[in-house]
Amino acid sequence: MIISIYPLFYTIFISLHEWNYLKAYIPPKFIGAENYIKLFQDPIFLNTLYVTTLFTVMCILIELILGIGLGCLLYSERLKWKRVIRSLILLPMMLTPVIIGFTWKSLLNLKWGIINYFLHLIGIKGIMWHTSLTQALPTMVLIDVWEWTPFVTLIIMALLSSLPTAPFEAAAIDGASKWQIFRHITLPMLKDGIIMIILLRALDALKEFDKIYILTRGGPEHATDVLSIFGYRIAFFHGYVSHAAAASIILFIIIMILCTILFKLIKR
Amino acid sequence: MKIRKIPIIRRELESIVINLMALVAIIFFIFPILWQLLSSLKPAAEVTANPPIWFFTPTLENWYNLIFEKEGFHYLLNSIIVASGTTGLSIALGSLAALGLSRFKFKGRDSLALDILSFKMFPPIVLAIPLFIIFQAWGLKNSYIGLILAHTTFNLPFTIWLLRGFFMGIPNELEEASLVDGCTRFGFFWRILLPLSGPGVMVSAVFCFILSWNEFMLASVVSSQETRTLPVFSAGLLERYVADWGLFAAACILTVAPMLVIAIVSQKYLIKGLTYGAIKG
Repeated sequence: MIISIYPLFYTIFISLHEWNYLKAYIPPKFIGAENYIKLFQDPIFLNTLYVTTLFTVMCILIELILGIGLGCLLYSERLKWKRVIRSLILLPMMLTPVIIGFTWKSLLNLKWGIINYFLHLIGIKGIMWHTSLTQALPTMVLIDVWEWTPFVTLIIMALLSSLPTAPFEAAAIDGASKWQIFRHITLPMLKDGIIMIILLRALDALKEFDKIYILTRGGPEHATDVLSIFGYRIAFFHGYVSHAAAASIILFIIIMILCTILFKLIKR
Repeated sequence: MKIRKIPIIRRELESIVINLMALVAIIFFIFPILWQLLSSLKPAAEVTANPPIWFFTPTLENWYNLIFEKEGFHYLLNSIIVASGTTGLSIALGSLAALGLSRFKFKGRDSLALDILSFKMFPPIVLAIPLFIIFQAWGLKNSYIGLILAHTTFNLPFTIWLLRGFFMGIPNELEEASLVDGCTRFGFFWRILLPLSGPGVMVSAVFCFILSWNEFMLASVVSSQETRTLPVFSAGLLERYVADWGLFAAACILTVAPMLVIAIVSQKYLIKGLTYGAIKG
């Protein structure tokens, strides 16, 4: 408990002071909420909030759609080698995020990356991936989708196996089509589980740091500048520890709000 | 007969489509790792060839460079020390806290347990700034102990949460019986509760190890040249050896290989841990 709480209070304490770590000879000075006020006047920080939100929402949407589809697909009893497939699909999310960043950096290389080579074969050219202003953020989403869709798939499969079979049999006897069964029986029964997945993924996506740090460091021109990257850069490159502490407290508050909702669900 | 045949053909077709789609999905998720493994075995010039070279004579050049010249082995050892230390400390502290939160009844116990879980949601950047300053002041910045403590901060909450769930599943009668038979409270914990929660302890340990092994931000902030873990070392390579992609590929495989082994060996535990929160709720 103490190891976990102490740093939090220390962060709040720093965020109320003016302190540049690289100019340690100037002692910290208490300035109240000024750091927070400055942050909300800073266009770069506001852009950071926007990018973080966009990243999180896109990731969750795509991962949910793909994950539910894949979960139903892999749950089908007509699939062969289920066990092997399940253990293979587990792999991406076990990998070190930094290494995932590396791997995609070489896959997406503009000159010799294999993905551009495949696209070239089917006639698509000139995708700039993480080096382009407009494609950088979608590229990060793509990588996150690669990493975390298996997680959604696994939970959907576990949820499906915990459902009662009676309603499905009844619907099949009544002549409902597959889509009708999915739309009117499966989805409503999965609803609580899906909300849980959304929250868990949101809590994780908001913290995203490693992959973006390796691929773009928030660039080009702040196109992928999420909150954690912003805080890290301000604190450990520019030394404005107090400023970064304030930014991380804002991220913390967002996360705690989502957390409270999640816990209400767990308790229910 | 004719009427029956059509659905059978359709069923067959559907099965083929389902299996094909699953195959495509698997290739999408596995290909990047396999490609990286191939790259690490290619001679330097062929890694960045365009069009890519599929057939080549494998060489251990990159691996030799990584392990001996760049001291990759030293960082592998660091990673093992830090991840094992974190796992040990988290399980030791976590099981005691879980004992308190599952076996003793007091007011607000359940909401306290949830509060503890919320620390799992801490964004690492919130921890990184104060830990950097505190460890600097305490002289822990360049030691294994500092890194292990830092990793324990975010591993402990989840460990407590998981273990508590498993401890709650063990009936109270067992504790009463053992106390009547003259066992101490700690004796009960050590001789009965822990062995009975074996799978739970395994799930927590596997998760602690993986999370600590993969962690990057805290490790990059509170470690020095000496105590650097593999992810930090790999990220450093990118900065210093700008174009040696074969070397990067080898570093990637070295870092993820233990995780791949753990993922395959302890698949059952992993799925249990991953789906724990969602299914319980």
